[in-house]
Amino acid sequence: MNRIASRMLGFVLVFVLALVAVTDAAQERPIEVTSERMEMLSAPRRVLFSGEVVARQDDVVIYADRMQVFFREGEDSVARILAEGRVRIVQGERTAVGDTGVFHRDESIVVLTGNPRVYQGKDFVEGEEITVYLEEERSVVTSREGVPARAIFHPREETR
Amino acid sequence: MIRNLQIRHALALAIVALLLVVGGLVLKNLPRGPALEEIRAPLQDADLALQAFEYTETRAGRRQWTIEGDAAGYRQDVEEALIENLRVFFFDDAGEEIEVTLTARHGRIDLAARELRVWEDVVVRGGNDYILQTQSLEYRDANKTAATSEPVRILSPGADVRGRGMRMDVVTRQVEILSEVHALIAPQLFDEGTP
Repeated sequence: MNRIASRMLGFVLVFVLALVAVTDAAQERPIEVTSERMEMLSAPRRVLFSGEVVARQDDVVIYADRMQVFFREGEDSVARILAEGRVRIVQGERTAVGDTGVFHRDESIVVLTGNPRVYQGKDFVEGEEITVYLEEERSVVTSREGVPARAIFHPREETR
Repeated sequence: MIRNLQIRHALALAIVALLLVVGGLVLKNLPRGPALEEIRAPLQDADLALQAFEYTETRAGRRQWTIEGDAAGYRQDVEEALIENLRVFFFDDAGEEIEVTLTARHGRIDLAARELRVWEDVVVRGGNDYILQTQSLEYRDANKTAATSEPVRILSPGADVRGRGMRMDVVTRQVEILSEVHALIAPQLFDEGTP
């Protein structure tokens, strides 16, 4: 069980690190966003995409109903990205889903909430909230009150 | 003989049909807005023609917007002014200038409706916040909004956005792209891409 849990946590960590590497790389390289509508808002300065939002960079694709990109005041860099509504983050066979996904650049964390799950094939881990601390290289799956965090892992023999 | 005539008629009909289709396509794809002749005619027929034109619209004694142009013609019967190479400056409710300017090759003011339509190489600059480019734009003074159904491009610090259709609140600078949004988000885009 420890081995399975360790593997699942490693899987979650690697996946979310890849996601954050993508959003972090957006500081240097363009991230391409398509959507039905867009609003530029101020105070705080941000861009709101809505309607079939798809954000791509390299092999990572983020889907959501709405996505807000918050910029630092007085700077061109992205401070925070908030994806809401049927959030789905896909990289190869790995997929993370939730109602909300937030990348906080200052804190170097990514938070998935709203029935968050991270899949790889049939395997998945879920909880109340999945948070990854980038600089400390650790992640936390918070359980619901009275409901433990859950990991479903199919041993290789079963998945064949 | 009859057969030859039928073939010739069929060919002629085919050519006519082809011309109609091509003509339809050309008409469909013609740029919107008045043709050059339409633009020149009011200038020539204007009751008042001006060079180095400046016009300020006021409400309750307060400036609403000011237009500068290289040339302008005014027709009194339809209360319409046509302006070439225009620059528009906007003011808030207190009459203070706000950091939004608009430039375009052609403009038409409906003085009765207090509406401004501009076309060809339309550029809106919102201070250091954004530059908007499109080919046609209508400004309504009643609600201080500008709108277009044409393709638009917005360059802002960190983002290069293209889409079709736009609504903009000139006072709050809130901009909304209405469809077909395609954005690139990266730092330094504004500096590199600023026309």
